Amino acid sequence: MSKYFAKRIGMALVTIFLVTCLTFLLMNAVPGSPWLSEKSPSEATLAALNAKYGLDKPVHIQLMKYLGNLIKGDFGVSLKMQKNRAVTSIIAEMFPVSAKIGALALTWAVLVGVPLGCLAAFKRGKFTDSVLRVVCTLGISMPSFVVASVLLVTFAGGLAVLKIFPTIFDPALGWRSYVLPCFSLGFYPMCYTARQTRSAMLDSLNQEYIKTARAKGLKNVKIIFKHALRNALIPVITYLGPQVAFTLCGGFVVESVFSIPGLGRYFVQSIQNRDYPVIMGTTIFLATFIILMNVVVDLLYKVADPRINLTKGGE
Amino acid sequence: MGEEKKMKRCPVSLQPDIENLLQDLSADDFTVASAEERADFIQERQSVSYWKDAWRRLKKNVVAMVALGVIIFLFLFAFVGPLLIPYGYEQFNKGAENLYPYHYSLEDQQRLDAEVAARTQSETLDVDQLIANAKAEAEAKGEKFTKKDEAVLKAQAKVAAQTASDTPEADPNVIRQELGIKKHLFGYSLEELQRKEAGEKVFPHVFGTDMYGRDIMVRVMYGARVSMAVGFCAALLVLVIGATYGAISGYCGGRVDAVMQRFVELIYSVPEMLVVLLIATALKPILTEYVNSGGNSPIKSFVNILGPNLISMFIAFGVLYWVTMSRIIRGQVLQLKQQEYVTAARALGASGGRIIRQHLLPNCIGQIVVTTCLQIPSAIFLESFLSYLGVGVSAPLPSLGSMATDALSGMYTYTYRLIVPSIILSVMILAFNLFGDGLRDALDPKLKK
Repeated sequence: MSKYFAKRIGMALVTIFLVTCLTFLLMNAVPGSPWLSEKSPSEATLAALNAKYGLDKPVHIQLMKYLGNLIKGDFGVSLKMQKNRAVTSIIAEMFPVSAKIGALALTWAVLVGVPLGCLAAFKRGKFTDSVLRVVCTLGISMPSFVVASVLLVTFAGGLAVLKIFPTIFDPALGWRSYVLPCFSLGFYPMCYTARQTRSAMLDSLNQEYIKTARAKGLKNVKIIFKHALRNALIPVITYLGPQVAFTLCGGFVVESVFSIPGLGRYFVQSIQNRDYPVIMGTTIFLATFIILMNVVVDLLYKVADPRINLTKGGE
Repeated sequence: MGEEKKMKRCPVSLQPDIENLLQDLSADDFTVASAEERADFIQERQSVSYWKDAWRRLKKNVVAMVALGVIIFLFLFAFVGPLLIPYGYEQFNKGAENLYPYHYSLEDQQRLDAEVAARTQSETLDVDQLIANAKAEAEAKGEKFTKKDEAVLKAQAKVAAQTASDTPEADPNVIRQELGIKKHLFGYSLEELQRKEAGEKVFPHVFGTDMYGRDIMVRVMYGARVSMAVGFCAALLVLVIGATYGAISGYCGGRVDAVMQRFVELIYSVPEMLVVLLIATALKPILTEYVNSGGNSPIKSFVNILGPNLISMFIAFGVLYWVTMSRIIRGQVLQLKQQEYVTAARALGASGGRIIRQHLLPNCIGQIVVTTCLQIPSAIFLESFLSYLGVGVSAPLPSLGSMATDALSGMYTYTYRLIVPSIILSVMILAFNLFGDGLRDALDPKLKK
């Protein structure tokens, strides 16, 4: 087990290293610089700015320096958007906002999606199943901006009667401003989870041990939730692992639709502004998060299905 | 011998007793079959090929067939539609700005305009009346009516007029209802209505127009075209890269496989959305520069035809999204390469490449087709996402995603501008998803759940 984890962590470090290099090179390939704006600064100012932030050196030297700083935990400072503020402090400020909405969104997605999937599998071929299938396929076919804007048009101003929720996210308004963003962020994962659960449940309902449970005279609810669901959760966990990382870091689209001051929206803005350290910092943060979640997923496999042996390549 | 066999026969056996049967038959019963009979015998059951069988199963699946119908319709809509409409996607139709997808008949429109004008007119008339009244009142009381008082009155009247135009009384929509004017389908500008009245044939703006007077239907058609092109090309790219990579990895096995799979794992843990965003933004200017630089080469003209935006999106897609396909193909190849026909081919001296191309890939065609088909909607999804954020298809060329972003500003007044591209996009992705599901059921009945 410890050997397995050593291997995993080694892989994780290599991945983070490669993602860092890739992002760094891509970012530097983008023409334009953080200093360009309406009134472009003089040559001398540009040179001084570049020298100050080390942008005048060749790319590989910049990269080495960045990696060196990274090991010390220094992500650099923002060049443009919040000048000279440490990237770590920006992430520390933005992440909780995104994480709160993301966590709420995923919670409802799982709490609704998994039971719906079970229901569809249990009622296989019946009317309920067909309805759920249509709804869920529709759900995975609607980009989040479509869901978000449809919600905005109906519940936030389009129809006077239904103007219940605010258009722009504002924590001061309490739960009301969380409803629409969380719903639109969680809708896709909910439908996806339901579909995954359904097909995994169908597999697992055909197993011998389900027959045994039924033969023992157990109630349906107990069979489904205690025996069948446990095995059916594997594909769901596989999907949800990286999804947790993504959702907690903020839906790029949902955050820009509702003007949520979160990490996702900030990342998009930082790309548009060529704020190199912010782009790097966010990417590395998210990559690390995703890799971490993948390790957690592996551990959860073992919890869900003790037969799984992690140390032997589980193909 | 015959005697012994007869002895062993089980009395309840259902097997026909050939010995007895032969005794009942005379030599005359055995004649050579005529050509007709022979043909009949062969035709009795035609061999059903893999594809025919799959098609038969697919035809039974109503949902998948409806989805196929929708896909064909959208395809025609996107590729043939723009030829039938006399407007271009970049054509600013003067005087036809901000049209709704409905119109009133010419008389009604004039009546409505007159009524709206009359009501606002009466408001302005009131101001002067008010001032005159106030003046008369002040003089009667023997007080002085100063300029300041007049300004105050005017300001009050202005505010009142403004609120009046906001209040239902001057709202064209309310007036329309009061006058009992009916809405008719499709948008026409006033000038177009007059031309139509004069007997000219005018093509309507079916979905209305945007703030520059561009016909929304044409733009949606082009947007759908972009989406479909991206979907198909990206799926093709994923197919080529993924199938090659997966087949090589699976066929070679051993150390090669181990190294190649580490690389796949690596790509799996890359935050794809971030990298796609980065690649799309990074490559677009580079490709634009490349196209604009002098010289001529086949690659350059190819890039120019497709446009740098689309190419950078394909590259982003090709770099990251082939991993799923490669995993599926690898799994299949790992199973198939144990089969005898592969050993036979190898014994006959076929090269690895030949075995993969001629024997292994054709045998996992079902999986390949299904995965490719399900890749299309996810590519369309990604394209709309990137365009929505403003890093996808850019300016002159419309995309369903960027049309939705543009519509956000006037979301409540011009809801149709947001709804039309959104619905087309969702229906397109839905149709591809449903068709892909149907295809999976048809091609691989074992997977049917």
